[in-house]
Amino acid sequence: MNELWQGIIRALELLVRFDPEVMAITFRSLGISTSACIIATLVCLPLGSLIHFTGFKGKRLLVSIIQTFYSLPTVLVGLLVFIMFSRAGPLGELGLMFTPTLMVIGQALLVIPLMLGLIISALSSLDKTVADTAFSLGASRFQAGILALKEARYAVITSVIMGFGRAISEVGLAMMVGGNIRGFTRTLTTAISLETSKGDIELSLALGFILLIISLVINIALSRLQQVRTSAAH
Amino acid sequence: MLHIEAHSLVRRAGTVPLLKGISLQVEAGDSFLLIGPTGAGKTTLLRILGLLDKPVAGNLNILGVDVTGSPDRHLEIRRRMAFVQQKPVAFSCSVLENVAYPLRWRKVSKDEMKTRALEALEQVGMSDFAGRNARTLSGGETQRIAIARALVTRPEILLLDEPTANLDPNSAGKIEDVLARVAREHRTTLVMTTHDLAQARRLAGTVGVIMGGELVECGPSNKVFNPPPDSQIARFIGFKLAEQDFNRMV
Repeated sequence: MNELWQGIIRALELLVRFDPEVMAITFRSLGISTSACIIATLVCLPLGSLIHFTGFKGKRLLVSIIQTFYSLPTVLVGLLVFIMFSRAGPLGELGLMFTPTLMVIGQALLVIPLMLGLIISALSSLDKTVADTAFSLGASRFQAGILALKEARYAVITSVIMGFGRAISEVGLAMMVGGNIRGFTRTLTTAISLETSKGDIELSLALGFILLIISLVINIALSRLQQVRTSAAH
Repeated sequence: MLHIEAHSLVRRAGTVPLLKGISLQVEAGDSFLLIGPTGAGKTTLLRILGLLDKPVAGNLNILGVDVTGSPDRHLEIRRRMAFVQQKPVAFSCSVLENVAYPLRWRKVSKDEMKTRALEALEQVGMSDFAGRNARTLSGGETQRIAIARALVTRPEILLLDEPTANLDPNSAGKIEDVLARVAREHRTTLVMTTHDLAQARRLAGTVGVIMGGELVECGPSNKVFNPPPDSQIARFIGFKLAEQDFNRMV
């Protein structure tokens, strides 16, 4: 127990002193997950609108498949990305293995089903009259899509935040395609995993606190959004 | 000149027929009132005319364009029309921005957008509400905003699905005045559904009676109402005659 308290105190010291290694890992993690989230958002907003506004055979099945991928194991995505980008893989020539770029790609692939499904749900929960009104007043499909996303903005932002939460907290994919290289691809989750196995509990705890703070900020942002959404509805 | 020409329009919900081959013609500048009991198919027909739904069979020609054969021209035709729905929705922004939205979609300049939106609000007596959050308005006020949002585009055809259903008599009267003025001054073609037969008498140039998905009567207002052509229509519009008297008369 004493060891744990000492660990917590040392962890807080590392945080208060803005320990260079801790800060570097934190910013790298934020950078990779934010980039993955931006890519996923750029893919999911238009794709979600397109799926929502287009009637086609098998649409319900497609949405069900997307929803099934919400809980896609991170190691499975990691494995697929590894196979694709390893030296012998079809995209091996790009030389992206064990780079932050591939971690961004992998996290984006991991986040896309979740974000896409939540955006489609957000648009589906919107009153159908919104799109009908837009079309009947001369909006193009694109313009109606922008309006619908604006009207469902709180739910859309929530899905983006959820996506970010999934990206920053995953460890399997980052470990498999990033390789946990110190100063290059080491992120909060992979560092915690490694430092714990090495017995450096203080550093692991410090990084864990940061991850916890990030989760707290995400939660606060989500509940604030919920409040704004509720007050806007009344 | 014909603004709307529909021939044998059919629409189904699964296997249930909603429209059973409706044909009608609406002249430019006419005020065409569609009346009929609930579930008769008025809204279904209006949505097809507004290019929101497609008929499963039949031909539709709007503003001289065969829209059944040219889905790629739907946007162009939609931009020459406007549709006010029965339960209008206000977008989550200010009243002025709500009314200006259709102009933004048409890439009208900001100054012109503001001037025209304010004019449209003035027309429906809502200019004092320009800065208000549109989501905080009452049902009747939202309906008037929806009408202003349609009028701001200066449509050649204005489709209205029971536009005064949510309004108190005073507001309904004001809207009727606005619609009558728009039709008179701008020669806008009005196609409107209503349950209010007195309103139909006041506004209609032409009346179409829909029952069970069929257009059972269509003609000038004075001809349809005085006297109704058959007992079914007479019953619907409340013609006060015993059926045998009615049959004798017609």
